[in-house]
Amino acid sequence: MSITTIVCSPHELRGELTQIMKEEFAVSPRVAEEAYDDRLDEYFRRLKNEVQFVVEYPYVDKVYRDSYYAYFSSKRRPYQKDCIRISMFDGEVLPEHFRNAAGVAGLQERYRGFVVLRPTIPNIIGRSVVSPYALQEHRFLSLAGKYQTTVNSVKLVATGFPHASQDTEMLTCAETSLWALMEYFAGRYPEYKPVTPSVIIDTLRSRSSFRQIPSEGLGIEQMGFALREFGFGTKAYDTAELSVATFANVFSVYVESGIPLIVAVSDRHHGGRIGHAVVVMGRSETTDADIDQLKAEEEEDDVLATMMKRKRIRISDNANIKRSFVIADDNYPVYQMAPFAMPAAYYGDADWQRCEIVQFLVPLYPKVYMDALAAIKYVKTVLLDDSFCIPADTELFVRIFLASSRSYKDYLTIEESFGEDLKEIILAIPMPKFIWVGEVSSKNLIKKRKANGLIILDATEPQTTDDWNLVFGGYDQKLYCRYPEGKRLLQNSLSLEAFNIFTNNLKGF
Amino acid sequence: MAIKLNRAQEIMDRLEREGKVRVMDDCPEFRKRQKERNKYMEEVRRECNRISFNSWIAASKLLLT
Repeated sequence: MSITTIVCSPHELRGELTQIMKEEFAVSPRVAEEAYDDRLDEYFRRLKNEVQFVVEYPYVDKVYRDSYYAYFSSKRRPYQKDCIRISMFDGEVLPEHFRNAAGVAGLQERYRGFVVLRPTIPNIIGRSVVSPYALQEHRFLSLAGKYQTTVNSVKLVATGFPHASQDTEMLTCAETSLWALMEYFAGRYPEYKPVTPSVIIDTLRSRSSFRQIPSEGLGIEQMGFALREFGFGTKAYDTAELSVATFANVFSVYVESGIPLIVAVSDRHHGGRIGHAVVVMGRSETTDADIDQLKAEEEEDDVLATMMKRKRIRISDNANIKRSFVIADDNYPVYQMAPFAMPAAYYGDADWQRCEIVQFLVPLYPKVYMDALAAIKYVKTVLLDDSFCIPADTELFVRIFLASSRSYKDYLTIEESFGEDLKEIILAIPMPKFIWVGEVSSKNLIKKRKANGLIILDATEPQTTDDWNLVFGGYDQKLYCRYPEGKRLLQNSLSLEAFNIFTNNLKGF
Repeated sequence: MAIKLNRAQEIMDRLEREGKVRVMDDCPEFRKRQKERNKYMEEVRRECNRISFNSWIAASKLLLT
């Protein structure tokens, strides 16, 4: 048995794949054609017309092999244990490209990821990483990991958000979401490891009173437990515990922080029975119209509302912009877009379209102790009391997010719009691994992707007494920081000019 | 000879010499605002804890398939 590798164009793909599936998955021509038409066609139809495909088989996929040995091989019905892998390239692919250095460099530049087909018909989409740049429509901001792979024996790196469809037996949406999340973190940070389906099941053994395979789904509580076991300081938010506006606001703040969220969508409030898990890993780009349409919030918090009224300061919150979010749903191709209020808008079915986000899980770094809601309220209260002497009738635009201090300082080092003295002071402040950042701007400034105020909070400090969580605060001529020993809160008068906003979390705004 | 790359201490010393640095812990007006913030944020912290606990309780009630 040798490896067969073929190159084909979009219009040849159906014919080639149905033939290969027939042979490799040992199915009839009709079953292979239906699998293509019902599952694959919508995947490949979204790709740019220039994309060329390299199909390799047999391919050993580590995730499917794990499911095969843990479950599928124990069934009477025979399942093949090998898969088919389809790699995608922008533009022409020729055999000689794979056998010389210049050709390989060109292939890497044009490599757009891969899709694995597993023999679990009809749910055949296995472990996949597709670059947004392979899509005809890619005007959105999505998290992406990097995954080393080989195509025709050449090592290449795929960039994208990991995705798979559920096989409905070993993997339902809940397990797929956990797998995708861990695959993403493993592709970004060396401290996390990818998990296979059997590892997820083993991890949840102590949390399950009944048999685990075939899977009947998981609850958010079980998923939170698994994430904690995988090394996260997981937090859950339930829609019933916050107002609709605050729930959406906290959700957006975490998305802005570049954290992929596991999101539970349901139509139970309409008496339905849908309970589905998806991963949200980005959002639409911000347009000037989005900013213009954003209304200064009617603050629900009585204390903040009173302060806003008394000081005549209005705050427009970036997290309240009506955006669409980028979704990895295991019933659909990756990078679906939907608004917060209709998270399953891309489903054709009316019941699904009525679904709402009812819960979400945040896989936080374990030492992020300060809650998003506390960070949001702290930033607003500091702006609204007289600490910064913001004049009356000012309308502020505030953007709050979590960032790693390494990433933030790295951005600061080459950010020329910060004064040199100010930059040196901030860079010398010892910071924890993660910080909450509040960028203060105006509607006009933010359209130029600029801010003129900055508040940095210690994410490891849930205790805000006497501003112990405040690392740095600056607006106009007033700057606050604890320097040099961190014992005294100092105010100095260096000028903070308009600076370019931080966009490293989602690689854009 | 080694060169110190970090200039932050010099900058702070210079600002202090120029009278541009105030210790806020000693400023009565700031302390008053700080105490009000402390009180408000203590309420926020309790609210966050309540949301966390109730969300955790609710998390076991929905099956995701």
